[in-house]
Amino acid sequence: MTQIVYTTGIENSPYPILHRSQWHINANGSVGTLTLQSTDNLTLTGSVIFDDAPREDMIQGGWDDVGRRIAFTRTIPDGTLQFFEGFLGDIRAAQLIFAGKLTDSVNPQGVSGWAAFSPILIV
Amino acid sequence: MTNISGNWRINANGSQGFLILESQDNVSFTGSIRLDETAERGDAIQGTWNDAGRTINFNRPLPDGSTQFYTGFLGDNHAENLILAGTITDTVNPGTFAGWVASPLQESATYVLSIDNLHCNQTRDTISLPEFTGRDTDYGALVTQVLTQVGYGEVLDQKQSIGSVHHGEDHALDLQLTVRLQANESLTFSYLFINSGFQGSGAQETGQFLDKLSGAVRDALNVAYPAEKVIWEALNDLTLGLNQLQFSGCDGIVAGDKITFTAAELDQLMPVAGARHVETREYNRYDHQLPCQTPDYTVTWSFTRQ
Repeated sequence: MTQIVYTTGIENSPYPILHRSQWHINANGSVGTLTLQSTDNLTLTGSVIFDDAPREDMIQGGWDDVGRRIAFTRTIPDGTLQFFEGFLGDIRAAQLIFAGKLTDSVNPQGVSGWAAFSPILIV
Repeated sequence: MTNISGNWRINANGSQGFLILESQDNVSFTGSIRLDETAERGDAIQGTWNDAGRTINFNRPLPDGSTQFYTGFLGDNHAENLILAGTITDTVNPGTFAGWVASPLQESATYVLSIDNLHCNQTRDTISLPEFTGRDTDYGALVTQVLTQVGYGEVLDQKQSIGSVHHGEDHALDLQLTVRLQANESLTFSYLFINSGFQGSGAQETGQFLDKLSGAVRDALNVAYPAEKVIWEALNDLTLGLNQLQFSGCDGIVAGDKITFTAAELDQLMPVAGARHVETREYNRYDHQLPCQTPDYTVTWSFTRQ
């Protein structure tokens, strides 16, 4: 099973318990940071911040471990929804990737590529 | 219009390598793919590019008779970060998918990262015989990793047994790693120097000790630590990774850091081959137990552009 988030931190310490992972993302050529949070490795929430749109947009979606598939929706302030679907690349366990396609509610026929990379996160 | 012909870097299901696409009409193409995991061979591919649909499809027959099918989509919001990304499936498990991403191969610059000098202003040790002054026994490790346009690169490391260190001494080091960086990539490196009274009697024991040290430094590449904490203290709090280094007495960290440079930053610092950038950093905030002392060391490191 692939854990897409890591449990980190120590109780009663400056480092709170977190169930999350951080990924370097390239979505249609825009790069940024994707944060995934999940307590069951099935449903996920989180956020994405892009260098060319430096604000935090919430995401929510799910992870299908058997299907190696991640899907999540990004809500943009103007009301547009972006739909991300990606598949795992895990030949190198310490350097996981997701890659796939994204569409949006404004132009559902327009498809772009996206990918995200994560080393094993320590905290 | 996006010209699909050219050399690309690719990450296919986590395996990195190179993709060559050759097309006369920017519609159909042939080419090859060579991945690090099967670097002894290049596999021929053929496929099509749909510029209006921003979609690429190609087949990769494998020597075992199976065929992989790649489907990808363009990402071109920013030309410097252009990607193709999508899914792979094959004839063996047609319902199973994996991710892949490719980015145009660009000119790269090669840098030699070197930890050149360790200077001791103050040892951890208070007094040792027969010197009647403080004497640390230091070990060091350097680790680096590049974030490319198609994923994280391999972690590279070097480690060194430095030996006895006294107040005021300089120790020339031999910790060097060579890295290649394309535009829009970044490099992170970590180093750690510790004083340890570890009394390894042989090369094998010393090697195992250095491997543990190097492992702890690898962990530091990815640690996200509170800004108010020195990275190595935060790392140790969380992973106890340094505890296995057999600390006792006045043993402990004497210097360590984690530093990231983008390719653009390095290019600005060293615009031409042969240029060198040198920095010296002082470390004097690590905890100590009485009767030991707060260590005060400086580390000088450099980049040289090849």
